[in-house]
Amino acid sequence: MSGLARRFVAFFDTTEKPTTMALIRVLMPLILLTDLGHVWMLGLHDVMWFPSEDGGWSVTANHVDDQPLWASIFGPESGTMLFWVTVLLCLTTSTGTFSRTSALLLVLCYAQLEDFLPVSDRAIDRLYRNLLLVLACSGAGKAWSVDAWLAGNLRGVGVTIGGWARRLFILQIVWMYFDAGIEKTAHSWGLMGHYDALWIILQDPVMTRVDFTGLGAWFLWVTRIGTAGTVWWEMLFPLMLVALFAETGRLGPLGERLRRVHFREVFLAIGVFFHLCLWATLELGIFPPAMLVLYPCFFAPEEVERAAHWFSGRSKANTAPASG
Amino acid sequence: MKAEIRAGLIAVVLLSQALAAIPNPPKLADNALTDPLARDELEGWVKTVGYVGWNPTPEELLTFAQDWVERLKSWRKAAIAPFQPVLQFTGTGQGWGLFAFPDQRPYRFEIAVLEPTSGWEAIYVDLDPEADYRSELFVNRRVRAIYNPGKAPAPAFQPFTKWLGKQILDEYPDAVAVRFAFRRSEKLVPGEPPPGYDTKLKFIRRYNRGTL
Repeated sequence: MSGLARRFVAFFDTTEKPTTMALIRVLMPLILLTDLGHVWMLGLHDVMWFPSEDGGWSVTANHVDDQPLWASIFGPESGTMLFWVTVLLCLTTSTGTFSRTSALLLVLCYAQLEDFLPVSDRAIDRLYRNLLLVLACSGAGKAWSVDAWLAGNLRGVGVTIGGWARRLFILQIVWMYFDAGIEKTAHSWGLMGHYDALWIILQDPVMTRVDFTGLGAWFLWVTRIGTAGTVWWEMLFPLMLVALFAETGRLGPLGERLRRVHFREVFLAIGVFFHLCLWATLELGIFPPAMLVLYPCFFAPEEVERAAHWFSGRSKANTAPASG
Repeated sequence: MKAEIRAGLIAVVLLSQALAAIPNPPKLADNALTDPLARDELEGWVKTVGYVGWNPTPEELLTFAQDWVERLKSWRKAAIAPFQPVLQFTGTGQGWGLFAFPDQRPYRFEIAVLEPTSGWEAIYVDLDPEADYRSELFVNRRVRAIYNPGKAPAPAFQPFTKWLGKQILDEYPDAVAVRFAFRRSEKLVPGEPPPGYDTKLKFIRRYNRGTL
C-alpha cells in the first residue's frame, strides 16, 4: 500500500466517543420534524403529496415515467402515508430507536417525498440526506438513545465509534460552503458589481420576511458589507480544515497561534451570526436552524461534553435556592 | 470492519460525490444578448476578463460560455452515470448554488377575486398587510417553492392554484372568479427607491366559479 493510501486509511481509522454524533442524531431529525409539523399545522400534509388528478399537488404521483417508487408500490394516493411514515422515522431516528435502520429508512422516505413533489425539495434537503446516510452508518445511536438505554448504557460510557463519520460531516459542510461561495458568479456578488447581491435579494417580495424597500443609503452599505462578508466567508471556509488540524497540536507555531486566537470558534461564530441574519430577514424555512444544528460536528466529543457540563452547571446554579 | 475495507468504501462514496460536485451550470440561452439583465451580466464579464488580457465581444464570450457549459454538462453526465441510480434512489448529490444569481427584476405574487360589482379585488399580495389572505400559507418553504416563479412557475403551480382557488371561491361566495398572477418589478437600482411593478400580469391562472 502506498504512503498516500496508508494515510487515507489512517485518516478514517480513528475512534472517538459517540457524544458529538449522538447530539447531531438527536437534533437533525427534530429539525425535519418541525418542518413536517409546519406542513401538518397548515393542513397541507394530505394534499402536498397527493396526485394532482385527485385534487392534490403532486404531478408525479401518477406520472408514467417519473412515478415515485413509493407510489408504484403503495399506490399514487399513498403520499399522505409516506408523510406519516417519515414523521415516525424522524422520531425513531432522533430518539435512537433502531438507530441505523431508522436513519437509513428516513433517507429513503425523505427521497421519496422529493420524488412526489420535486420542486419543494431544496439544497438543505439534499444535504440532510447526504449526512443522514453517514449518520446511519456511524454508530451515533450508541449513546443517548433508546438503543443505548436498552443496552443498559444510556450515556455510552466506555463506548467508542469510528471518527470517520464526523470527518465526513466536516468535509461535506466545508465543501457545501465553499461551493456555495464559488458558485456565486453573478456580478452583484463581487467587487465589480459593488457587492449589491444582498440588497437585491432583500427587495424580492417572495423571499423577504418584511419589506426592505425604501431604506436609505445606510442600508445599502450594511448589505454591501453583508454581501462581501458572506461570499468571502464561504469561499474561505476550507480554512476550517486548517483550524481543525491546528486543534490536534500538529501544526507547529502556526497552529498554536490559531488556537490562541480561537480561530475555529471565531470562524463558526461568524457562521452563526450569518445564519441568524438570514433567519431574521429571509423566508428560508428550515435552512438556518438546519445548518446550525450541524455545527457541533466541528467539536470533539470531549469538547461537547465539557460544554454540556458547563451549561448544566450554570442551569443548576440558576435554579438553586438562594441560601441565607 | 477492517480499516482498509472501510477506507475503500469511503473512497467510493467520496469519488461519487466528487463527480456529482462537477459544476452543473444552467444552460445559457441565446437571449442573453437581447435580455437587458442578462446582457448587463454578460458585459460585466467582458469587462472582467478584459482585466486578464482577453477582450472578446459579448457574442464571442457567450458562445465560449455556451460551449463550455455544454461540455461540462456532458462530462458530468458521463462521469456520474455509474452512480446515478444510487444518487437518484437516495436523493443525494452535490451542487450548492445558493442565490447564485439574485434577480434584479423579482416577481410579486398576487391573488384576486372578481366581484360582480366592484371588479378585481386583491386578497393576497406579497408583503402587503392590506391583502394578506392566508399569508401563513405562503411563507411555508415548500409552498413558496411552488409559487416562486423563477423563469416560469413549477408544474405543481397549476394543481396548487386549483386547490386554493376552490377554497377561495367557497370563502368568497359573491366572487365569480379567482385569479393567480405575478407582476414583475422594474429593474432594481441598488440604493434607489423601489421602481414599481409592471402593469401587465404574468403566468395568470384564472378559474371561474363552476369550473373547479
